[in-house]
Amino acid sequence: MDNTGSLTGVSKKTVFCLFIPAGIVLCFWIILNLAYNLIGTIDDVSLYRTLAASICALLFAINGFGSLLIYPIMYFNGASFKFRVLGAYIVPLAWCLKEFYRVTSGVTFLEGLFFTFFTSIQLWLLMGQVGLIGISELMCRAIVKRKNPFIKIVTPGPIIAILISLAATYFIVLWHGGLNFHLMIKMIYVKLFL
Amino acid sequence: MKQFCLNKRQKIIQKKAIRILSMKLIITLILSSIAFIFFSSIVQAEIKKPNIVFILSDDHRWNHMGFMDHPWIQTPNMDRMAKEGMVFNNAFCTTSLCSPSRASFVTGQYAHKHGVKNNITPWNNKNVTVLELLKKGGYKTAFIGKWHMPGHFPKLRGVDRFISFTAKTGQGQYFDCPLIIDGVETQRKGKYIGEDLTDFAIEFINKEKDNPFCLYLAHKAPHGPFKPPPELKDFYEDKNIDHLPKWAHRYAGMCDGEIYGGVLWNAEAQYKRYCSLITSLDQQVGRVIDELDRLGIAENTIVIYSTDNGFFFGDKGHFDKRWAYEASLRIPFIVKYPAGIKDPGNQSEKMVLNVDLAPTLLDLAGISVPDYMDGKSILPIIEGQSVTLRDNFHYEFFKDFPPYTVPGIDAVRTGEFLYIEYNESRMKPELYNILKDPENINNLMETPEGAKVLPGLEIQLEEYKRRKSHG
Repeated sequence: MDNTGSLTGVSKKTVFCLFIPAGIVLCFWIILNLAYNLIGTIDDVSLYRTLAASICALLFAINGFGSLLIYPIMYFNGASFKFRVLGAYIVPLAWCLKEFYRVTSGVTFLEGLFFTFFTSIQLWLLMGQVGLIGISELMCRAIVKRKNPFIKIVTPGPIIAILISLAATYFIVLWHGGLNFHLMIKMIYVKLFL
Repeated sequence: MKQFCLNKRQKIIQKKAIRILSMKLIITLILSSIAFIFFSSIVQAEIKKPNIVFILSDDHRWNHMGFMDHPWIQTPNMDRMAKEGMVFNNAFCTTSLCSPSRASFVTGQYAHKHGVKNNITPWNNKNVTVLELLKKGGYKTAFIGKWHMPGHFPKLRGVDRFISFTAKTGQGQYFDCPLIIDGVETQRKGKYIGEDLTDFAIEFINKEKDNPFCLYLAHKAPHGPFKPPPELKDFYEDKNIDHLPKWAHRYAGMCDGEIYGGVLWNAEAQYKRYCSLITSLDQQVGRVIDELDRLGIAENTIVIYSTDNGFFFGDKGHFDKRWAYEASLRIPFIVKYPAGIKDPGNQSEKMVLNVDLAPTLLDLAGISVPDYMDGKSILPIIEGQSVTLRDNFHYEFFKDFPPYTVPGIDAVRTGEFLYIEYNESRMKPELYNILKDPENINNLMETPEGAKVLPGLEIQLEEYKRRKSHG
C-alpha cells in the first residue's frame, strides 16, 4: 500500500504538510469540544438542546468516521501508508486521550489505560478505524484507477482490514448484544485491579 | 351379715358417686377445652402478625409518579397507595447502585458491612437476610424477582420460595426471561417479566393467605434496556420532555463517554419508554394490592413500595445513577398499611433510608432487631408517633468497573445540605444547598455560605468515614 506518491503523480511533501488535513480535522474536533462545554451556560433550554445535539452529531461523525475524510486526502497528498494510518487515527486517539483524562479523575493511571484501550466503546472505535482505512484505501485506488488502469483495486490488505473490523464489531458489539465481551473484559479487570 | 350388706351398699353408692363425679369432671374438662380453644382462637386472630409485601423496583426516579405532579406519567395504583397509605418524601438509598442497594434493603446494613460494594464484589452467603429472620419468627417467606448480586447464585436461607433470574449477570430480560424457580432453571417463552413475577407473587399470596407471610417482590422494571410491554411501547409517544433538565438532549451520554449514545439510542425516546415501563410496573403493583383486597387480607397486610436507587435523565449531563446527586440518592417510598396507619394520605418529611426496611419489617413482626443492622425501624412514624430517626445520613459509593468511571465517594446529606468528597481522585469536594438548589448546580465550596456550614459537615463526614473504616 506504500506506493501512493508515484501512482498519483503528486510530488512528495514535507511531513508537516502531509499532516495538515488531519490537523485541520483535529482542530475542528477540539473547537467542537470546547463549544460543547461553552454552551452549557445557555439558559434557553430549546436553544441549548438544539445546539448541543448539532455539536454532538458533528463530534460523533468526526470521532467515528473522520478517517474516511483524512485518509483519502493524505493519500492524494502523497503520504505514505504509515502516515495515512497515523492521520486516520489522530481524532480517535484524541478522543481516547480525552477519555483517559476524564476517567483518571476517578481511577488509577493503569486502570485509565485499561479503560482507554480495552473497554467496548474505545476498542470498537479503534478497531472500527481498521475497516474504515480498508474502505478508504479501496476508494482511493478506484479513483486512481481512472488515471492508471494497471493499478489493482482489490488486494488482500484492505479486505483483511475490513474483515478484521467486522469481526471485531461482532465480538465487541453484536455477540449477545455486547454482553459477552463486556463480561470478559470485566473479568480481566477484576483479575488485574481488584 | 347385716354389717356385710351395709358395707356392700355403701360401696355401691360410693362407686356410683365416683362415676357421677368422673362424668361431671370429664364434661367440665371438655367444656373448658372447647371454651379455651374458642377464646384463644379469638385472641390469636386479634394478635395475628401482619402480612408483609415489599415491592422493589429498579432505577425508579423518585418523582416519576402521578401523585408527585409529574406532567403526564400515569401511575394510578401507586397514587392509590399514596392516598390510602403514607408517602416518605425524604427517602434515600445509601449507595446509588443496584447490587449494593439491594443488599442493603435485604440485610439492613451499609455496603461496607454487607460487602456488596459495587456490581462486581460478590454476595457473601454468610450475610443474614431479613427473610431468614422473619422465617425464624414464624413467617412464610418468598423472594420473587431480581436478586442481581455479584457472585454465584446465592444459597438463600429462610425462604420458602425463591424465584430469580439466571445468574449470568442477574439482570434478567423483559421478554422470555429464564427463571430459576426453587433451584430449577425454567424457560419462560412468551412471558413478559413483570407479569410473570406478579403471577408467582399472587400464587404465593393465595397459598399463604392464612399464615403470616412476607413476600419480597423485586421487579426488573424500569431498568434499561427500556423495553415496555407491546401495548405500552408507544404509550407516551406524543409527550414532550420539557420538564427534564436542559442537559437531557439526544447525545447527553457523551458526557459519560458514550460516543455512540445519541446515534444508537435517542435519549428522548428512551425516556418515554422508561416512563412506559413505570406505568407497566404500576399495573403489576395494582394486581398485587387488588388481590389482597379480593382475599380480604389487605387490612392486616403492610405493602411497601420502593426502588434500589434513583436515575439521572440529563441531570448534570448524566444518564445513569452513579454519582451522589439528588436524582440518584432519592428513592420513592410508599407504605400502605390500613391496620397501622392512623392518618391515610399523609406525607412524611422524615428522613428514611433503604437500610431501614429490614429493621422495620422485624419490628412489625415483633422480632428483635439485631445490633449489627445499621437501619432503624420506621414503624413508629408509620403509626403516627412524632419521632425523628436521624437528621443526616452517610452516602457511600465504591469504584465500579471502568466503563462507569465514577470514583469512590463519601457524602453526608442533611435536610438542607449535601457535601460530597471523592476518594483517590483529583475531583474536588462539592457542597450544595438542597433547598435552594435541588438540581445541585451551584457548588458552594469556597463561598461565604459554604464556609458557614462546611466545618460541621466535614466533622460529620469524618466521623462516618471513621465508622466505615472500622467496619
